[in-house]
Amino acid sequence: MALVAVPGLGIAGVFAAQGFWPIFPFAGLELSALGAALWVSLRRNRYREVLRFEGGQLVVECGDLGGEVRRVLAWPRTWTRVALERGRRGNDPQRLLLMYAGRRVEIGRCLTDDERAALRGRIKELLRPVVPEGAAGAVGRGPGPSTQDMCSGE
Amino acid sequence: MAHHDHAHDDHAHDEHHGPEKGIMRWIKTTNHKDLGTLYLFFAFTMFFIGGLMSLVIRAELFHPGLQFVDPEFFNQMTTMHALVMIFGGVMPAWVGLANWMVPMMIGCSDLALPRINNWGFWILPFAFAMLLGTLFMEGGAPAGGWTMYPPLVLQTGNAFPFLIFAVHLMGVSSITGAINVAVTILNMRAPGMSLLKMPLFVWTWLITAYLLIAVMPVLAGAVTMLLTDKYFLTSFFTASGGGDPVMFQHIFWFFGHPEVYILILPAFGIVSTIIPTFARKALFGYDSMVYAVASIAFLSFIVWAHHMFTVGMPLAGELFFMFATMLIAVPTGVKVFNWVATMWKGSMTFESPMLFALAFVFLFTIGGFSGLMLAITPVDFQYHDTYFVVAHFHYVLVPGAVFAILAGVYYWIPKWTGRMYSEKWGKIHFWLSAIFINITFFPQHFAGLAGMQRRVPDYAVQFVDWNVWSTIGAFGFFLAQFIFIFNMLACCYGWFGRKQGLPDRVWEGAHGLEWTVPSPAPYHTFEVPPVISDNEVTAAHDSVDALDKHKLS
Repeated sequence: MALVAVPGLGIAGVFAAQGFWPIFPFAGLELSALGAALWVSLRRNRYREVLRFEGGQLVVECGDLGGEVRRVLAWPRTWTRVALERGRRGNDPQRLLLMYAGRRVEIGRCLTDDERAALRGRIKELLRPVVPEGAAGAVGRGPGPSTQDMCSGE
Repeated sequence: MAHHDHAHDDHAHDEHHGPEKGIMRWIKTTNHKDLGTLYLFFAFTMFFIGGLMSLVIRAELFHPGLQFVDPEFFNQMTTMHALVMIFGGVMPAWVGLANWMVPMMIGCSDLALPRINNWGFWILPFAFAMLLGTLFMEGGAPAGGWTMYPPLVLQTGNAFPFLIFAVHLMGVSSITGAINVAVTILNMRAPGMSLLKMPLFVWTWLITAYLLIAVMPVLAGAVTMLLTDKYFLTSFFTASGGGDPVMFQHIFWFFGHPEVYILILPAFGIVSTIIPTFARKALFGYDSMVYAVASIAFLSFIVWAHHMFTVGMPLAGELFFMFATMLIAVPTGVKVFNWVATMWKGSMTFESPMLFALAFVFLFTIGGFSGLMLAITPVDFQYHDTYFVVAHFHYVLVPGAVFAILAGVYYWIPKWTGRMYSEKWGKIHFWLSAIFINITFFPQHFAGLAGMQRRVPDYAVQFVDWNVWSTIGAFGFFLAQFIFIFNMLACCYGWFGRKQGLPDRVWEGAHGLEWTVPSPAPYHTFEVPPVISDNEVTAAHDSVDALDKHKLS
């Protein structure tokens, strides 16, 4: 950014010093646009969604890699449902939704439809009720703690 | 290391989702391939319109005296021809090629800002509707030359504010394209694709984007000052109010000279991609190519005043700009030598893209040499504003930039459409273009050296022979382009029984990620970041590899 900002503002500054100041606001606007574009792109690259299955809870954390967690959800594993919905319009990507008590949260927007479908299957598997060891008639024993990292981009 | 960004928004696509149907696909699209196609169709439409304007100019100059148009309209044609060709033809064509190829070459799914990409394209039709609409206004279109020098340009009639607004819109479009490409290249390369593994077309575009970002505000500021001088009683360039009209020339060319390189640098990238493919050798001196392009970009900032040697400058200034301009020959020479060295002992074949690339090397070098002549200050005093200058910059821009665009389209259209063009008609198109372009512009060197001024509808009878040849060449070149248009449309629409079914790697000597995806390229590519194989990425441009092969042979 400095590589382009310094010459860009330098050039505009030299012209402004000569009295031709209208170049300066254009340079400022354009460099702001470039800065914003770089920031948005880098932020998207660092965005992560982490799903943790801890005991009876599903914990969803969203945030940037190396930054603060922006959103945390901790929902009962047993009562949470996962669904794949069609996009709003014909060509829109599918939406992967976590639902609990009337609340809906979309996850995995950075994935492809195939990846979303696979993730839905895996989450469904992990959401099965956790039954205590040795309980009689245990059906669908849930796996132990598990972490699913999405949108890692790697 | 750059990460692969899947565009975390509602426009994140999937391979199974095709495009929308009907016209709305093209209006609403955020897909880089769709927008690349739109840019290219727009660019070739503008080439057609700008070409028609050049035919008006050449028809008028076929003989001395006034034949077809009055001098005022002639001046409108020269001005509009330049604006349409530069901002409507060449620049959108480069952005179109970047849209198509940059994401596929660096292994990402789309450009960083897909909606901005859509917006950047759709500004253009409005900008050019506005600009071309001035032809029908009272007072006609702008006629003061594309450089818009005051005070002449301030005499423009009703068209003036439309010209300024159109230039602003073109600038906004260019900036959106440049920012998008730069951010994509910097942030979205596939893991393993380090900067010095990028294909040269990507490198040249990164540097082009840098130049655009650096100089576009200068143009925007300059034309805004023209507007305020005309309508808001400022005196930036109005001598009667204490302004300095010569300063406009400095400001304009501070933008204008880098702009020349903006028009030609991506051509270097394309030629550096095509020659290794058809020479079946790695590009000689990849690193030096990158440094040469960067050097040319740097030098472009310190040579602007060679466009205005005759305006009156201190001798020290003239010497500085003369030597700085001559310095550009060094990195340019590096590039030409590298291209020649790449071909040296290569297993060459001469398909249409290679023919255009070879013609580029040869004819662009002629344009470069005449540029060196113009750099010599005392000599420039004779050449300034003559047809020698017209010949020089047309050699750089037509067999230079335009031939590279044609070469690029021939080279990649099998990947875009999955259909091979007709090689026979490609070769016919090449030979007609190469012959007619030289018939058009080579005689203009002689007319200019003999003293024929540019931007005049009439001339002394001593120049008539050169002008007759130029006009014949111009009409021939224009007509020859229809072969290309039909050849390419036949690939797009499957005319003349052309079937899809080409292999992924259409050209046996081609390397790079774009040749690892099917032909035609699917609507969405690299949704999952590719695994970069060093062999694939560096085979095309590893100079050490090239040297080793040379020694072995």
